[in-house]
Amino acid sequence: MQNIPKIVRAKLQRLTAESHPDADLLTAFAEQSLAGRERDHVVEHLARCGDCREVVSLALPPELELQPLKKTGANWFRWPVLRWAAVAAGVALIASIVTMQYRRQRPTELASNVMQAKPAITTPAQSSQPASQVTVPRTEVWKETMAAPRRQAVAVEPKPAPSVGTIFHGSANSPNRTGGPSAGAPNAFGRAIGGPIRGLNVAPSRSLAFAPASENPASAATAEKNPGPAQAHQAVAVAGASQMVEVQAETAPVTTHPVAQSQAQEQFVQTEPADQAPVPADQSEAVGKAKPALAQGAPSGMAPAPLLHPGPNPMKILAAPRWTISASGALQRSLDGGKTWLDVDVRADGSMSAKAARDDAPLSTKKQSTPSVTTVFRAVSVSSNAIEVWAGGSGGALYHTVDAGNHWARVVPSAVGVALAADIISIQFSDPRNGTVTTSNAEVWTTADDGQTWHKQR
Amino acid sequence: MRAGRPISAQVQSAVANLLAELHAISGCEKIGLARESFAAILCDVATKYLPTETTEAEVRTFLLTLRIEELALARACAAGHNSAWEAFLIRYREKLYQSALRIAREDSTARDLADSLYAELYGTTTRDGERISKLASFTGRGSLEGWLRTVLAQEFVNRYRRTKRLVSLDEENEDGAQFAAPAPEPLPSADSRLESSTDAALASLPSEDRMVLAAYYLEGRTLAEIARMLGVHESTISRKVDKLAKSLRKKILTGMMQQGMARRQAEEALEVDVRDLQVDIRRSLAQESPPATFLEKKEALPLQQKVAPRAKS
Repeated sequence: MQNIPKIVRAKLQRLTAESHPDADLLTAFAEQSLAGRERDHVVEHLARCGDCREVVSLALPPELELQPLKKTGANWFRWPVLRWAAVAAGVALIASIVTMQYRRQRPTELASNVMQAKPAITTPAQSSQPASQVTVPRTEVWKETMAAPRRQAVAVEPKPAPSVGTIFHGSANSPNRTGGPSAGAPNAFGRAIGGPIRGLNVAPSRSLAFAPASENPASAATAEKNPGPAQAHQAVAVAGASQMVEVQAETAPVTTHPVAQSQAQEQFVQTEPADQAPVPADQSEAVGKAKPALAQGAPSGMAPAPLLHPGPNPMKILAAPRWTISASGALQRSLDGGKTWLDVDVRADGSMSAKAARDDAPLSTKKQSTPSVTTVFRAVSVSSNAIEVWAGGSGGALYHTVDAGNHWARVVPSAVGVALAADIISIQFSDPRNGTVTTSNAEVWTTADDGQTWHKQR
Repeated sequence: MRAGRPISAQVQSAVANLLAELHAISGCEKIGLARESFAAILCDVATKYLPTETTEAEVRTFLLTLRIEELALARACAAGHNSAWEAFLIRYREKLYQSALRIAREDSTARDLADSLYAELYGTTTRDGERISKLASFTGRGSLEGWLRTVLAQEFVNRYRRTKRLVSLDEENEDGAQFAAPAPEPLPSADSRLESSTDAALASLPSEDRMVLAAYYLEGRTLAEIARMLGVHESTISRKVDKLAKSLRKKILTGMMQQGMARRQAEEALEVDVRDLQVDIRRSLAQESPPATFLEKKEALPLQQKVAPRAKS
């Protein structure tokens, strides 16, 4: 931002104010309950009085921070009994992510799903209470995916089984967006996963049996349809406990791209036959290779390579994202404190439009049917940490993100069979749950549960 | 309750008319507040905030904006009704400590703050044998929870500002020039036309703009924070700051030129000013509050507070 002349600064500092407004007035002001002359008077005072500004700022109602990965670790991982559960959780995690992604395509369910999925999914990222929380809600998913990804489950083995690394790595690459979780006790988790997984290793014959024998990844690669990824997988497989955990951590973020995820799954299936035991390789190299390799291999006919694309790694985003609406009505986001702004495409589920290189996949069936008309945004409401954002515009377009714009959900407020379809001109969220949306035809819609249900006031 | 202006007829009438309605919402009976006392409280509050000429209809509208239930609870507590106090504790005690923690950001300070406010709310201080509770001053303009936060914040600002000031003065004696620099005072060489033009430019700004400027540039508050304070979108503040920074410069230049300065002369005068900003880094650092950590902010803030009054002398 531009600076102001020093003399202006000096003048501002010299401003003095007498008769501070009483606590009631300051409170009413902070709660937007003042109007007219009374409010002007308080604002005038605040323009002069730094103390009162400080008071108002301190007294603002708390904003619920969206911290998906904040749960602190527990130590029960050390219990062997629970390791098994942890493993199950890991597999369920993968499976549930896939399933959830498909579900995510339906916008109406989005809000609730994301919210539920988020806490459910993110917990496994922490080596704390994964199993119980993840497996319980996802048991049905677990069962249904049990059969197929059996091998994938097996793949979870850290040292011996190659695919372990691959699975996680695969999924890690896809959800390369949301903020990385703090891997609590990575090693513990890693080891934990490794152990019990062997138990799962019943049927899946050839491939992912934990054959410690090392085989040539090259041969595996050649036999592979997509040599790149296969090799990468193999290489990655080497990932030991810590490595896998690192990958694991990347997997945790809820918002994984659906196709990329399923793709990762598919690739595993593809690499099945060719899968061999891990080859000792430099772990960091492995991951390094795997990443770009997967990126290449990913779009075998499917889209979401954007996620594999070296886009802004959510873990590296340090500044709080900033939001604005451009003069032409495009929603824009800056991740570097306002220096550069990128248009955010809310319809490309999961990808940054700026780099949507491969976002032209025939995913129309999966994606919500978006109109060819681009939304002209007119209102945006940003939470205090700029992670949760509501954006609204023409034609009743209302979009909601809880991960700083990496994924958007289209929300269609409806009540008693009537939906909001007019142009949205204003969105106001006094706290993460309570919000008001106003349209150009003077409709006022309110929600008290962060957009899951709405009430039309007028 | 509060000895103030005489209660106007309009207020009395409005209160009387609304009393039944308001009394029903207030839950007075549960907390032991008598109806007449309640009516008197309403009259006091209306009188406090409304000018005498206010019409009855306006008084009525005003009364309807009050947080009736919370007002009744607070005043009942202040009056010493135990049931009221119990209800208050259940609802607000935890919030009090949580808010204090959010404000003070540090455990022991927060507890200190909360405890002292708690005592004031309960009314341990007695004057003429009567227990004076801070809750007696609550008027229901804002929520009780918000009011508690505000009062906590006020106490917090007062406290550390007071102590800090002492420290600053002591440090000033040792450090000499650094703190003694009368930053707010314009440089002796500042052109009087520059000064007057700046004054005019600032005065022409609506108070909200000036508030945004002060909050952003003097205190280094984030755009998000400022937006929340004013109840607008962050993007609005972002645009505002950008616009202001640019237009201010233009206005000042125009003002100077109108007073007879040539454009180049005016620009130079402003440039010198700006250049000084870079040259005298030390001074700048002492005054400006860049987005800083909490602790740094703590130290930076009182400096400005201290300097401002001094500059007046």
